[in-house]
Amino acid sequence: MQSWDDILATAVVGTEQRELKLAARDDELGQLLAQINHTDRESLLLSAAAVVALYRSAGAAPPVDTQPAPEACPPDDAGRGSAASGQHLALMLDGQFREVLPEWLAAMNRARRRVPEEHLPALLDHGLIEPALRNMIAAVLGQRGEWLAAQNPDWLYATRRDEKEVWETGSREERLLVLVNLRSADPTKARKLLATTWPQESAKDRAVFLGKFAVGLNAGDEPFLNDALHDRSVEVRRVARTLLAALPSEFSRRLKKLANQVLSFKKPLIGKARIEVALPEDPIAWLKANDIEIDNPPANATRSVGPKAWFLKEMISLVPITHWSEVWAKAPLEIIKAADESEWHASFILGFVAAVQRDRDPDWIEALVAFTASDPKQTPLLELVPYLPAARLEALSLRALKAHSEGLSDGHPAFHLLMAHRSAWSDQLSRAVVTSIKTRITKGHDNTVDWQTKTALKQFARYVSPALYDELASDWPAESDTWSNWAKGVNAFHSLLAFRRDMHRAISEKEQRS
Amino acid sequence: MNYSPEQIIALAPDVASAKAGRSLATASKWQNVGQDERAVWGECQGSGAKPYQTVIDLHEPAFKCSCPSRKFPCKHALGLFLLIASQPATARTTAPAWAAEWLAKRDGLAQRKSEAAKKADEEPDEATLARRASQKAKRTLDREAKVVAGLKELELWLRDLLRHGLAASQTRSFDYWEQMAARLIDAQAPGAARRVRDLSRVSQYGEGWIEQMLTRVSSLFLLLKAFERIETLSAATQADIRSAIGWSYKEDELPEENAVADEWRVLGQRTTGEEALRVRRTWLWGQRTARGALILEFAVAGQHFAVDLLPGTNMEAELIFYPSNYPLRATVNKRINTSRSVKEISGYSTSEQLLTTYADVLALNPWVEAIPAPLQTVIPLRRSERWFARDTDGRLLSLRCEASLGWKLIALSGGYPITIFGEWNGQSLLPVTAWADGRQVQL
Repeated sequence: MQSWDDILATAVVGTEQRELKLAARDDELGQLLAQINHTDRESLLLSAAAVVALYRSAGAAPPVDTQPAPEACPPDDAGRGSAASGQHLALMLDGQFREVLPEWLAAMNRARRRVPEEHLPALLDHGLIEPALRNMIAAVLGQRGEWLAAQNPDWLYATRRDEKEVWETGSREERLLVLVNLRSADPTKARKLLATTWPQESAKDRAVFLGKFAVGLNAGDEPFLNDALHDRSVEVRRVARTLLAALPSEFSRRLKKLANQVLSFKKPLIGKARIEVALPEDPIAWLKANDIEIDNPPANATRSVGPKAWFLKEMISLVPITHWSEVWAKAPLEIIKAADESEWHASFILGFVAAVQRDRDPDWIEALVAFTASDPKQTPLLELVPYLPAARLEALSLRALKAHSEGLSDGHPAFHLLMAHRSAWSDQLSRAVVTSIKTRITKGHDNTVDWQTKTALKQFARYVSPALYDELASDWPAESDTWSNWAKGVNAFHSLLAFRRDMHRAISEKEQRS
Repeated sequence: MNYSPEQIIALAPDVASAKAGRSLATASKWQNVGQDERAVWGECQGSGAKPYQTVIDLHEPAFKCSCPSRKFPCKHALGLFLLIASQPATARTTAPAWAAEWLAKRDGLAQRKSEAAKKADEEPDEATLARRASQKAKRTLDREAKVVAGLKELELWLRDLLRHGLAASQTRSFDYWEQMAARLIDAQAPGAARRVRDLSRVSQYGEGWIEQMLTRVSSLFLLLKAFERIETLSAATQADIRSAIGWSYKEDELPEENAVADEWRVLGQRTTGEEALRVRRTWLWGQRTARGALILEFAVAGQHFAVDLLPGTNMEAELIFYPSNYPLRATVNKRINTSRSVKEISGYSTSEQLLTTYADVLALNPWVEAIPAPLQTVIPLRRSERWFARDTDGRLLSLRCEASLGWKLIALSGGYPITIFGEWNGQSLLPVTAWADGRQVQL
């Protein structure tokens, strides 16, 4: 528009430099401009600008879109989570009760509910800072969430992408996620995918990626693992041996046979049973002669224990833990005791621990924990407890709580079991634990400050059964003289438990349309 | 009536209170919780020996708590409110003495208020009237003198700005703008001062800033030229000029003929400003009169807003509008009925309708800053990092929003048309509320 351009051009440089000369117009605007009563250059410019600016503003029309409308999202068959569920999510994303988010995501998925639309962007953003939750997040996005994620490159992780493409172009984190997901869905496909880029991967990545073969490990993996035994990287070779040991592989079969040759369970007529060890002079060369290659010990490993002790530990760790109970037909605890009688007892324990962490045999774990806990010479192997399956932990905890009714403390035999039991507790266990803590508080006269138990309360609140809230939140011994020590921790326990109760309720309730 | 958790959370005076309120919304924190047709009450164990006693009058809603907190509503009131909202099936009981007492006091208050109003309506004697009139006239004269002086300086300043050219204004220091604005504050023309401060912001805009600058500078010039001959203009135009300068009517001076009774829908609410001075803008829409209304409320440090306007509710009420050629700002005079939630809203079905209205409004009040814009059947979308609402004619209305809000709108729409309510300032829409799939969402 000419008038506006003239006015603007004058305004930019200033009236000192240039005088506004309005071109005549024969429209209404022109008539209005002609009426401006001005005394000087500035007032003419400002008055004309005011008139034309308003004229333009009143007549402005937004542009017509030249692109087609975006493709709409397909309808969702999963129901939308309730408004209260949305509130809970917003609260957790805001930082309160954040530790319950995985449980919320899992429960939404089980109930086949999807996240209310307005919360999708914040949840998708959260997946960026907590990659471990990405699978769970993707499961509750619904069609709408996937549709949305496809439009923002930051949220690509939540879209269904071609695995091969992610594998070739994704970040290390994304690739790892693809590999793990694929291993649990289709291990062979995952192996083939890794094989396509295997030679180009760094030594560190090769070891990490290969380690993920523990998921969905099967006989088909054997040739690939056998090749990896000759990898350039020490770490990759170690991972390959560990995995082969967990398979009924040729490697494992040969190693078991050799192990049987050097170890034997002896029970003399008088005295204790013990495992006898007959190692060759150069064990590594001996293995090599029998087609088993293991690496020489790292220099720092043998400085304190000697090469033979190191070798023994290494060999035991590569034999499936249940092999010993089978060949010798003895219970785990008997074998551990017999091993403890040997001059090589330290190697045995270390080897057993390594094997059990891989094989996760509950009988052996229990035996190792029980043995070390009962022997004052040993440090209790509590770090093995988390390898026990939930049902075992549940049963052991209940037994320990029943046997020791003195109230829960960090020295109670159930304590480390409960700390390790990180999945939903049964009603029975929930009740038993709460009763035990109440007993502890009621007893009073407690001068020691048991921080561990107090801190544990917050963790327990994540696993006790939320359906029992009313029962578990009532009748706490507030009259006890130690209550002031506990009140804060117990309140936090109640808050978290109440939040979980409300959260599960909100998830199961139908969306209200009022 | 039932309140949703979102509505309750929206009442929180700040984020910390909202969080604290949510964590108190569990049955274990409360004892002796009860409810009748009108109110809910309960006792919450705090850090002290005696539990705090909390009552909520559901009609307004209004709150009372015995805790020492100066936040309003306090976390206890929010917690109790959320608790009741999450478990609606509480049996009706009789209020305990402490709750009943407060509720009765509220009834008394309301009665005294209406009596006082009646009293004020009675004709005072002539001498009082004359004294009041002369005091008021003096105050008006004093202020007028100040404003005239301030605007004279503004005119000189504007002329100087144009003499040297707007291109030079981009390199001006912050003080250059701020000094003029401060001078206008002294001259009791805060509206003009704010417009000058806006210029300083515009000078930092990217592409197109100079046109923006010229538009705003000329609008200011128009304002002070209009003020020069204000006596010759209609009463409504005078009011618009004064309000643009920042010389507003007092709430109790509003002319009664400006009262409009309607069922007002609370479309949306947003709070701006810092802790020192917060401004809450609540947009209403008359269901029968099909007109918008803006309730402006201010809270200085520590103060709280009244909590009687909940987005997503309707209220039968009489508003009194501030005089204007396009009356928008209003105050709630009489509340007749407590609100209920209704989902559907009606609005402009094309951007053309909105823009035609806007043009009409500009003709009435060229200094109007924003008009209420309920837009039906628009699809929010993102084009090269910018956000738009596309109407059924395929026109793109620019949205004024951050990425998180833009994504939220797109998520709500799913590519289908939705209804958005926002503030239209002639260039872009500031989204406040959205309706999608039968739900209302505060943005």
